[in-house]
Amino acid sequence: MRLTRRQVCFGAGGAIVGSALPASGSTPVVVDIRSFVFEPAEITIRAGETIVWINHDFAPHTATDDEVNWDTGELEKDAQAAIRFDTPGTYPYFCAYHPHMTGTVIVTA
Amino acid sequence: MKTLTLAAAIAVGFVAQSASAADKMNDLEIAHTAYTAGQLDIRYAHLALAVSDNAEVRAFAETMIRDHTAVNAAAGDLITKLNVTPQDNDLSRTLVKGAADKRAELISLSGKAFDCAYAQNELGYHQVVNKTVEGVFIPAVTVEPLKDLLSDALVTFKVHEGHAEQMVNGLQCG
Repeated sequence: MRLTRRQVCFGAGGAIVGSALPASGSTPVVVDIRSFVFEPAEITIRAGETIVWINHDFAPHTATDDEVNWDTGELEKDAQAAIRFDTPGTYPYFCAYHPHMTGTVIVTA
Repeated sequence: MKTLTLAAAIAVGFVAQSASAADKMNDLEIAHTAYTAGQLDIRYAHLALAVSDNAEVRAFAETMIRDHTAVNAAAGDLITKLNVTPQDNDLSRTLVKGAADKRAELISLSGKAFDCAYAQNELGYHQVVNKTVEGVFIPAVTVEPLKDLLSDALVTFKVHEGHAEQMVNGLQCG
């Protein structure tokens, strides 16, 4: 099992890649990737909270912002990546390898 | 359409042949055939990357390499964990021979003719493999971890089949 832990802080200034989990101290919200589906497909969090994507499939996946402002990078089976969202807004995303896989992050103030 | 009909006919025949063959196949032979099928699709994908300039075809081929490599790596891990050696068999040899013939056919093509032939072959190939894995291999396997692996892999392969169908439609091969 290979675990990938990375964190991206996404705010008005763009994406900053870090190496620790999580910075805010709050419990990260988990989005599971299973059978080529993001579960839940739509998730709502408060600004400053972190989402962790965990891939349970054999196939590698990504969670990539539609505008490519943030990206988990490649997640192999059982790997995970965290992204903190600091700016309120609606962020549709997809898997760069399997573009039919889509999800949405809604960040409230 | 003609090619698809032919692919479907071949699929039906192959699955029937697989069902008959699987009656005599043990778990190690099924593992070998499943692994071989993945490796052959990777080879098709490398050929596509070498020949095609079509962005959609190339993206599909890259996905096939990435996904089948991941599935076969998991299969390799399971084989190591179980300390067993997959066994070559008639069905694996049939697959290898068929793929060699198809590659020889594909390599003589270029441009849209290649793209269409590759896409249609990917659709037919995944249809055959998926029907065999779901209808023949999974019910026949006796070792639970291998059954689980095949079941998980089938999820990936079915997505590939849908993706291949979209590619065929998108290429408008006529």
